[in-house]
Amino acid sequence: MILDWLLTAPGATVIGGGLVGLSAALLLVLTGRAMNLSDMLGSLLGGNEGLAAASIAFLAGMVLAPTIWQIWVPLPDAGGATNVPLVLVAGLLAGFGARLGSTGISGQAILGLARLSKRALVAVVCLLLGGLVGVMASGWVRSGTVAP
Amino acid sequence: MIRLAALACGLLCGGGLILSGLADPARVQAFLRPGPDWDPSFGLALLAAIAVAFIGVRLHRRLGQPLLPGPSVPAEAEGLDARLVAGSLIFGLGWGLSGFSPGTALVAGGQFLGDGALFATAALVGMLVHDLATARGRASMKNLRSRG
Repeated sequence: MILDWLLTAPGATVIGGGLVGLSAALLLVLTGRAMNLSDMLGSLLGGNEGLAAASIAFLAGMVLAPTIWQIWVPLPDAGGATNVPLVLVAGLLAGFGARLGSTGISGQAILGLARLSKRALVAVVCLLLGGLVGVMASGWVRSGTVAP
Repeated sequence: MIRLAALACGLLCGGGLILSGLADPARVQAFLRPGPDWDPSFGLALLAAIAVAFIGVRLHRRLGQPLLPGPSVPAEAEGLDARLVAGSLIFGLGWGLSGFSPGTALVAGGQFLGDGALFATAALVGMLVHDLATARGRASMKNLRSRG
């Protein structure tokens, strides 16, 4: 019964979010690194080698997580209709923006706000504004108002 | 040791994202889209993550240094600039368009969902485009200056 509550919203949402925060806290306390996933992904392109190794290990953990998860519990359904051009454009924009502003959801909205940083607050407002426009645009594309 | 810790943190972060449902792009888009079907889950998970990460930030500051020895980590950027605002707006656009961020895309890719892998790859290309564009911009500035 507890497992049922744990695995359904909103219990799952809050506990899952807490685990993401715990991961950020542990990474910081143990290694001194900020959990900034966009930045970690960018380290695949090169840069400081000593720092990149740990980032790549973290990313590997994220990719492996679903495989280990489903040893015990079936994975929740995910993934709606696929729209390849839309996802492609979205990825390009996110990658470009991440590099331009040294920004990202995890780095700014989780760790940045936890550090009570003003810079992170401005970044989060901009991320949300961009996200609002983006989600509206995806609605127009999917409803056929605009060709993808 | 640092790599092992980072791998474990990555697994924890991936597990948290799956449990909270945030690895599902539809949930993220449902948070960004205002209206009668607005879904606050992303916000709830984010608040939980910030609260736990906040404890980590405090502990890290009190300890003064990371628990595991390793290469030093560059300090977080402070202050505001146009790059942060522009980068976050562009990043947000891609985030809203697809419901993915680089982190959640990796978890989705780990579930063998094509969209996630596509987004992560496109984000890497977007970062590369940014790096090439800025390198080129710097080179042409240099040219202008040497001519002038």
